[in-house]
Amino acid sequence: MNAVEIHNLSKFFGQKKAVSGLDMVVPEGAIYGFIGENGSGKSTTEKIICGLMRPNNGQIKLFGKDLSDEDVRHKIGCLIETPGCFPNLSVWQNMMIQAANISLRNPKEKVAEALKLVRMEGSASNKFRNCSLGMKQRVGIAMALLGNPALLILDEPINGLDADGIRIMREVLTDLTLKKKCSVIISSHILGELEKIATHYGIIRRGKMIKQVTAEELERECPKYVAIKPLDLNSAENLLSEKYIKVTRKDNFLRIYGDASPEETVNYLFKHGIKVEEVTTEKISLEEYYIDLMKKGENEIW
Amino acid sequence: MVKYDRTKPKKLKSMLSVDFLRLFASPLLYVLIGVSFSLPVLILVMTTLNGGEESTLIFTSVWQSISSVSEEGATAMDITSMMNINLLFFLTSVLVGIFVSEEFKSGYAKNIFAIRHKKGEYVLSKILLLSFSGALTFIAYFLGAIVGGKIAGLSFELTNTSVTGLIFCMLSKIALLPLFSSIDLLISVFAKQKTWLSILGSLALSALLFPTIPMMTPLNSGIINLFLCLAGGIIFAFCGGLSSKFILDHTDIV
Ligand SMILES: Nc1ncnc2c1ncn2[C@@H]1O[C@H](COP(=O)(O)OP(=O)(O)O)[C@@H](O)[C@H]1O
Ligand SMILES: [Mg+2]
Repeated sequence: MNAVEIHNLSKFFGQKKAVSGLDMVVPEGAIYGFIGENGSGKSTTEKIICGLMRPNNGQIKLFGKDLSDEDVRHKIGCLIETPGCFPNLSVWQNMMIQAANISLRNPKEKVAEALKLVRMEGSASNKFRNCSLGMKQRVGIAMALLGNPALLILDEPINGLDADGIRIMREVLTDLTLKKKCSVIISSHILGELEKIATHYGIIRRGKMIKQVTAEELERECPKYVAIKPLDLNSAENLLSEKYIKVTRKDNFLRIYGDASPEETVNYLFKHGIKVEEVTTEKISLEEYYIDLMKKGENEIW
Repeated sequence: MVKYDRTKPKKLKSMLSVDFLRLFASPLLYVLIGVSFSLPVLILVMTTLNGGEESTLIFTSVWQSISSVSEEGATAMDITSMMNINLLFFLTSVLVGIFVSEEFKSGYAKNIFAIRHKKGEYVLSKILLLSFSGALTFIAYFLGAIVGGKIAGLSFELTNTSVTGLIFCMLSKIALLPLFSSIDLLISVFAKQKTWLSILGSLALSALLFPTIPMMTPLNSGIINLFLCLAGGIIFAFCGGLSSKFILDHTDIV
């Protein structure tokens, strides 16, 4: 079953089309990386999934049921834009409020557990307004995680988190999906981080889903290349271009795409008297893939 | 099968528990109770200490700061019929405006409505809570009036009415609270994050209804007054509540 199924979703703000004809499928147990530039409609889509905004058009199913189904809605955990905390109350009080909100069993125990998970147990008595951005974000994550949601929706959760926070986040999410069968939608700009955990990707552009792929498909689609650092960059580039179909330059490295092997390229350059300092095989990153895709999209439209 | 720690929502009960937790944790409630208590003390003491001449003695009895006896109340609005406990209905507007807009500003409204599709419990819980906190301010005012009256040396005599009349008068006013709370709530869910709009809007609507309060709740009230106020309170709470629910159902929460 799919955790989320969206068909032809649209949301307008006056003349502005924030989301237009968006399709989205999030399989159960997936960590769905939701990628797109600022203002492309990620938050709007997430708000609609959470029932916080009314779409102008489109069908949404959560676990095969309608969005208005109370049982399904009750299993959502979300952190969208900001954690909904009262600034004048303590972190603990805010967490207890959310625990009451979702009718959590053993609230004190569960809240303490969740705060411990995000390493905020020492700041439970802090007033929320006195928390730093990163601490607030951690509280927001702890709040969304309370009571094991079946669907977790995180909007740019890594923003403001330090390295430790990001690592915790990664561990928690992987653990949740593996052990608790939780499905996660996570939007982020930090593609390098997303790449480490996501099992599926959805790329949104100007309110439209332009690509949905699984991590394996992406792995296959992302071309491998041999990266080589020759002493004489220019002559090496000329030489390699004669033999291989695609050679590009990045910083002090040359990238040779296609079925070249490292030994073969190094030997080839060595024969022509060019010494090589470093050689590796690599795969283009999600970020590069994304940028490429965006460039292609630009060309299609203009 | 995965076990969820979340139990089926105990809808109204969990909503009410959160609202009461917030109310008692917020300084707002204590400030309003403090204001409600000091208001009659200030009014009664200031107006009687001022010169002490017969002409400036606006209040001759403590109970004038609560309400007036029906024949007097029906006449034009003089200073005593303005400066009485009915002012607290405006205070309720301020409380509702701040309390509700805080939920939208803080993002707490997102947390509630993401997991609840039906908005009825939210509305009902708010009306109950706000009526309750309104009742607390009325009691504080009543006590303040007694203290203020003692300090100012005013008469505690009940002319043209009785203790029963006074009790029914207070109860009738409290019974009107759901009416005012539901109207204030309606404005506030419409205004959402805009605190100024919800306070100003609620104050304006309360001002429209204000002149009817002295007639509905004179000092010599009886069971009929209480009954009418209760009926009015419940009918308005129901209609106002339904309208609030309609607005929440048909607008974006964020
Ligand atoms: N409440 C709103 N009123 C008007 N326009 C909005 C509102 N929310 C979002 N938008 C617009 O919709 C577009 C998509 O916004 P958003 O979903 O927040 O993008 P993202 O989260 O991908 O950065 C933006 O152009 C934004 O300006
Ligand atoms: Mg956003």
